[in-house]
Amino acid sequence: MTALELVAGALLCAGAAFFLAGTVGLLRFPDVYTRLHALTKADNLGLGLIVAGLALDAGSVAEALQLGIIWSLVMVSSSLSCQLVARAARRAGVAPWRRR
Amino acid sequence: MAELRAAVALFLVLTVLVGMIRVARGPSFADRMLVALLMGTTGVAVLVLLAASPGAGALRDVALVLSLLASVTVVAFARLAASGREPAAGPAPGHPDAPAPAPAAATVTVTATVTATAAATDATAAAGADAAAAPEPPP
Repeated sequence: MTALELVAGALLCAGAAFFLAGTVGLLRFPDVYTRLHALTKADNLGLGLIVAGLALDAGSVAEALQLGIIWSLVMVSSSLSCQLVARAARRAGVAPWRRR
Repeated sequence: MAELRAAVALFLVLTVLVGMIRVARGPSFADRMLVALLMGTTGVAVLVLLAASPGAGALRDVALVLSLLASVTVVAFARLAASGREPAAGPAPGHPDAPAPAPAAATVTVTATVTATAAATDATAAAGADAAAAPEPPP
């Protein structure tokens, strides 16, 4: 177990923790917009940490670069889909949550 | 290291399963769609984790494709919602006139997550294409 492997393992665990946070937010938050907030941000950060952990451990530079490409693609597509879902909900008349 | 990767992948699949509670609860169609978003991101993470084991490098390409397909799902959903025929309180985007085309084209059967996401993509895309083809269906 080298130091590099230790760091990679820690990054993987941190990524898993962020995914857990995203799911908890999805279940606990009060409306669509706040759930979107929890889901897209926490999950993309979690994926980034997992990708970083795997890239540290990757066999070649090409492999690490491909991982980076996957992450950036997911970030672009998920920020886009976040926007689309929020707009669809807004147009369908889903009211934002307010503190009573 | 391989054990840790497998453990993290299993954990991620479990978080998706827990997230399914949101599909059951609703309350709006957009809430249900969020889980498809969750599945896309988590599915990519699981595939990338599995691709690190020796001899499974092709799964990285699958992750690349899945990351693109997941956004297609949401675009189809947004089109469906915009066409005014949104399944407001209905069960799912798989409307009555979409005769369950899901399993036929689900070719990316690598993990359970991928299968489920592909099926969801398929059903929504079919419903979206249906809505796009006939914007004003007879009531």
